[in-house]
Amino acid sequence: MQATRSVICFVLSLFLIAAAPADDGLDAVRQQTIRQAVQRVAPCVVQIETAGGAERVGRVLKATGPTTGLVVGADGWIISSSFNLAHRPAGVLVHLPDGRRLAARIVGTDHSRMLTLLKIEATGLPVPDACSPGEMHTGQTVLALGRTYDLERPNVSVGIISALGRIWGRAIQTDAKISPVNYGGPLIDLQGRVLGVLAPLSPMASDVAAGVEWYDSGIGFAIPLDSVVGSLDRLRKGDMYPGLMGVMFSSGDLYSDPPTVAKLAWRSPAEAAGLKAGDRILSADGKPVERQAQFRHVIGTKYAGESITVAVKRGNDTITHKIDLIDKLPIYTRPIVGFLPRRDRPAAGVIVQTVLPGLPAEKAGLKAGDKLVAVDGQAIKARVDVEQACDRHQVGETVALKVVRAGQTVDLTMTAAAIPADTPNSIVEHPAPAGAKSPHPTGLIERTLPAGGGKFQAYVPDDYSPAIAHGLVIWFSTKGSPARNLVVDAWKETCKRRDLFLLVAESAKPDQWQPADFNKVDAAIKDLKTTYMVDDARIIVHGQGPSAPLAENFLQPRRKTIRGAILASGGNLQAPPSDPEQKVAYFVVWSKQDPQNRALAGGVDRLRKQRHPTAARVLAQPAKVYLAAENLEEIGRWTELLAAL
Amino acid sequence: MRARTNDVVRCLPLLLALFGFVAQPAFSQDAETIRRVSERMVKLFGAGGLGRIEAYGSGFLVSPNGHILTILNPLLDAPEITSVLADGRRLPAKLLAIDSVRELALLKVEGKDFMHFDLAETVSVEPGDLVLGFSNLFNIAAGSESVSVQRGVLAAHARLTARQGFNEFTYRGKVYVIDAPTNNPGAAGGALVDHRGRLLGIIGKEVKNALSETWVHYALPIDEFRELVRQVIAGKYKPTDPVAVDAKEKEQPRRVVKVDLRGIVPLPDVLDRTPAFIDAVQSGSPAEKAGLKADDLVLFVGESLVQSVDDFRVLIDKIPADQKVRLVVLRGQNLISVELPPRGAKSDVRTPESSAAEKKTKQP
Repeated sequence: MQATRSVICFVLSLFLIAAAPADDGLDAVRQQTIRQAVQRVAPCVVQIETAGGAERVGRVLKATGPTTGLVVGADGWIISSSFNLAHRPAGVLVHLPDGRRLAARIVGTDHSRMLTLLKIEATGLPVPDACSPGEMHTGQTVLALGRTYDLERPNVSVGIISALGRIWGRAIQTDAKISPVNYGGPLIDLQGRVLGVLAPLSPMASDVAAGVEWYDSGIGFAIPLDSVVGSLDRLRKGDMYPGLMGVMFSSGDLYSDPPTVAKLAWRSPAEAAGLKAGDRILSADGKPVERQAQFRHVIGTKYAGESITVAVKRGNDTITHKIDLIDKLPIYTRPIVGFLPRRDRPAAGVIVQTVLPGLPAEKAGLKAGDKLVAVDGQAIKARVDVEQACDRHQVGETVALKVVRAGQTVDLTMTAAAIPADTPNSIVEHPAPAGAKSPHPTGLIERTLPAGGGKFQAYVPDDYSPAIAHGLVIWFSTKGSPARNLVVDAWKETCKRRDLFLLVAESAKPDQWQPADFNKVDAAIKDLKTTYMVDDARIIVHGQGPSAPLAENFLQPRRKTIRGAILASGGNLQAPPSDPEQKVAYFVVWSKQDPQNRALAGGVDRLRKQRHPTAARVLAQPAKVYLAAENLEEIGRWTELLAAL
Repeated sequence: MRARTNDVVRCLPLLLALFGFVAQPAFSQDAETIRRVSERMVKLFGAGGLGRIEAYGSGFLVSPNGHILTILNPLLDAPEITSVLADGRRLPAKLLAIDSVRELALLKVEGKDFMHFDLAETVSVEPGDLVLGFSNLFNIAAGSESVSVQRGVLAAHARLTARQGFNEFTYRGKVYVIDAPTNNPGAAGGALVDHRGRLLGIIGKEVKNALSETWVHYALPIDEFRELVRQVIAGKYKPTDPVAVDAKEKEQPRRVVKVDLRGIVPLPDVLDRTPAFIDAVQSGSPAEKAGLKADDLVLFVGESLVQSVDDFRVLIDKIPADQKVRLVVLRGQNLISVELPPRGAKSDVRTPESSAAEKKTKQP
């Protein structure tokens, strides 16, 4: 009996093995799950069509095909990736899965997460279910949906979650194929719940097209839906920007260096809150931070209008600050009232030499010959006092001057203004001093530096007198530069009229500039000052063509002492943020035929955007070898402005 | 106690069978699928090898008598095309027929009883379904090694507006867009199958989706070539003249100068894509009668989205003279549909040309 039962069991099992279906195993189950997940969320995935707009966004060619959006509000709120609308189209339409086409209005853009909110006139739209962050884990299967190929079915890409909290805490990373065919669409789980909205992102850059170059590469990003929904109320009111507080850390290794404040941006929230250079940030919003990168992780998710609580260590104290974040840090614009002081040495106070045309000082009635005795009620002794007083103002604020005119005290009020970009057409030359000339050599002189530092040449105008402080133009020469004598000859007239020295800076090896050569220039300036009267307010670097970047290299670490740069047909024109402690003005001259024409024009814009006073002169014809007499005459007038108050 | 153990022992085969029932399908079935499909794959070698033109490609058998389907490829320009079958046999292949619109080619090798795909099967797939791609991408399969297999899902089944370099993608039907990097050098002509190894389509060339400016992986669906293969095998195939097709495609001039815009005066075309805003509407024109106004943005001509003023002119010009023009414009936040009479319509239609003609005739 038992044997029979065993045999029957055995035979039965053989049948079962044979009859096992050859298909519909795990693959079929998975396929069915994917179909259902897609079907569940599909009614919330819409198509966006645009008409008109730019061909390029940044360096990316922007195609004209349909893009994708996701319903986030039943009464017509659609979220999409900002890249889909970055070409500023004239018309935006939303094509709903049910076939209706509706005009859409762009309501606001989140510039931190790169998402744009649209509004259409529709009600009762299906809103997707969300997957909460607690339920997401790395390695889980996800689907990226778009609706760009046709309207009937969303296009699908399958992948996994590669990482969470990417792009400084803002995004989910997936290896599904993410590209313009699904930007703006949802990243969903196998239950059809939305984890996030797909968008191109990059940790290195923050412009709208950043990250597009990684399309379909195995790295793609989605903004978690809960953060999208959380900021909808604000986005409905308009654009949102990443929050800034104006703290600069010392540049080094973001990932290992501690967050110690190196510098505070001018009039920034951090400065207003009382942070100081040297403070070491201990925690941000309660989270301890030991490295600069950790701090960035906390502030990376915050918006302008929000606040951040920062605990810092200063000496032995721990101080907590609550700082309100803003979208744009103010840019310092150096304010002046509009006059040139006399250059007599020794200076008998600050006496007005010339009142500059069209500026507040002229309007307020300041006159040549007036002697300043007080600014804003504070007594004035030297020009540096006037500068510091002006520095305390912003452009547009009222400045009160007290002057002495023909024995009488006169009170004048005027507004602080920015240094004009255009050089005035005529500036009266400073009068020559009465009295004895200089006992020191004039003309093209050669001096020897102490301690075997070598020799250098400089031009001192023939009518030089130590009673007048002279500005210093440092001409950088390298391989391909015009001959020294040609440059010196060209400058003679301007040096005489505008009270300037010309220092010829050359390298030991003619085609190579070494750090030692720069040190020699420092030594030459120092040496010149021992004998000649140099006006610290008018120390200027100058280069042409290949020597222009050299002049800039010399300038950059010396921005507190050098006040001007004359760059002809060359230069990188990098624009560091403007700073009250650095008063550098630029004169850039080139011709339309210059191969660097567009780069230089772009550089001038960059400088002006950072509020560095920049005068630009575009010549009709390129300079033959060196600048012409009329160019130097204009430059001469410009050098006067460097001393403007 | 002993009785229990005996029961377990007796039930063991049953338990084992049940276990096998559950555990069996996912693993051995995949290996079997792969083996079956690989048997039908062919590696092709021919002309090229200079610069970027690959001398290698893929194909698959579609008849027991040795018909091989592949993609129209420069490698087929060679006087001798060599096919390498899955079992390692090297056979010369003869070019039988080409379809220049779908860019397909049918070859034949001598022999019989070849393992082949049965094109009669219809398989339905949806986006998200598993797919496998079989091809000799990058010519990785040396000698008699089998072709490479890739796995992904179907991304979409839709029309593709694409470019191959500067050339327009001639095929206008639907393709299978694949969520896997299948379209690589040497892969064109490979087979796209479902998770059970049933043929879905033929892997295409390397092209860019013009609507998204991204490289796209796609296959031509089996529906598109079933009939072609059937006809060639039956000896009834009539090739379409490739020259004629090209000429027709190139007929449309890119820039149209004099187009009857029915009284619409669009914005001057000065930007990259000047949006097709209506600058003015001529009085008495069909556009005015239809209710169009200045500042309306023309969005659709028929079913086509208008990307620019240039687009607008080209689309209007394409409409046959006897057909009405259906436009959709955006006015503020409203979409408004209008219909303009056919170009050939007479009487009170005033175009710039007809007004001038009118003036001429009015003078005695």
